[in-house]
Amino acid sequence: MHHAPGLLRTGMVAKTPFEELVTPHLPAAFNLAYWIMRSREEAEDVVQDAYMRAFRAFSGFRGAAAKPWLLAIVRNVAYRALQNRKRTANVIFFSEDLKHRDKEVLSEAVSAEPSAESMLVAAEEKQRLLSALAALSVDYREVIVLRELEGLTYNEIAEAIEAPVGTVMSRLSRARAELRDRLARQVAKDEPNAM
Amino acid sequence: MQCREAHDVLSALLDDEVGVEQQQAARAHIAGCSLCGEVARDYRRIGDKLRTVARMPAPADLAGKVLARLATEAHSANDNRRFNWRGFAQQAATLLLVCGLSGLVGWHLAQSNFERRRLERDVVAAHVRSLLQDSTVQIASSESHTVKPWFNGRIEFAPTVKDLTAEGFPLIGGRLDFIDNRRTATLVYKRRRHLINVFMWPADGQNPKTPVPSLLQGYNTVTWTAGGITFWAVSDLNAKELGELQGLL
Repeated sequence: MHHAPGLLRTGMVAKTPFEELVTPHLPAAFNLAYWIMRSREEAEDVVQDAYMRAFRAFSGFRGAAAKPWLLAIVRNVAYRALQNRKRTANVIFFSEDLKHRDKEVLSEAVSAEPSAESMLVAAEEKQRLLSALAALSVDYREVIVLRELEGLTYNEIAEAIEAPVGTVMSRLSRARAELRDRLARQVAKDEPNAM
Repeated sequence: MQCREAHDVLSALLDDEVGVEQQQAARAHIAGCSLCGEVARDYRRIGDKLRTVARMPAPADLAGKVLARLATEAHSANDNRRFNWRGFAQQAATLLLVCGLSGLVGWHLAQSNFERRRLERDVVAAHVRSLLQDSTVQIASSESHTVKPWFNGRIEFAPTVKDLTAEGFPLIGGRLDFIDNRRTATLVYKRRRHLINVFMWPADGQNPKTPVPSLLQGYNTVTWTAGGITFWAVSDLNAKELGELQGLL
């Protein structure tokens, strides 16, 4: 990943326990921040703020796992940013960001090996998946991200979203069902003949 | 297990987050139900696909930005912490010193005050007792050269004996007393019709150098230390004139 140890070594400070515990989770932090905010720029800000918060709160951190602890902070900062966004009515269309990404994906896909056509199909499928995930409500989106992308256990997710494990379980179940429904509907719309 | 039930635990089943019993029942149902099996396969496929495509990579420079901000934060936090600790230590030290000193001084004051009060009670009692006797003196003389030698061999120090007739404090005489577990030389002076008892004993270092006037049971007292001797003067005379006598002795 980009948070290569080299960066840590060239930093002006020696590796602190905080950095050691928390910096490996930077990709996860960014990924969660992105999927809550659905904007790369805002996700960057969220991650930076979250890391400052985490640093200040670090002396109080006694948990075994740094990842859910850090992700809980990221989530809180992101939620606050969402509320600020709502307050300022500065609506950002996630789809633009996704389109931008999809272009990258498409060009990558087209230039990649096997048959261009099959990759194009894969790219379309990918776009459908990303759009469906992005369209989920934020509380469904975050549990999908934490479970499927970050591989957190239910206990860890419970810690990260500050909710009981039972809530995690039912929310994930409903989130998966809705994601599947959306994909099915999308497929039916895109390829009426395929069904 | 019915489809509805199975559907509820399907997601948790994929995540290995259900109990053994439920797991077996759910697996048994899914194995025999094409619909639920289809959902399970979809969930798994969607999950796999998400893992390969949906992870949003962090910008390459984000780690650097975060670390730079952390370094600034750590620096100022360290400064703050160091400053706070030093400030705290200084305040604590000052506080301790002040507490200690005031405690010491207070203790000392309370102690010496307590001591003085006790002696004052004793000398006032001795004064009153002397007035109850037929005679306040054992050696009656206004001659200091007669009174002073009388104490020789009776006490272990030479008392200050002055004839102050000219100053309005005629010497009546002297006697022995026993105050604070020791013999004291007591001189009796007179001012008009007021008797003044002046008690003397060797100073033990805790006595006030400057005169301390006081009032107990209507009697004025004044105590001071001079020439290694502690004086206590007690009388029904007013404090001002008693102070005059103190100045003469």
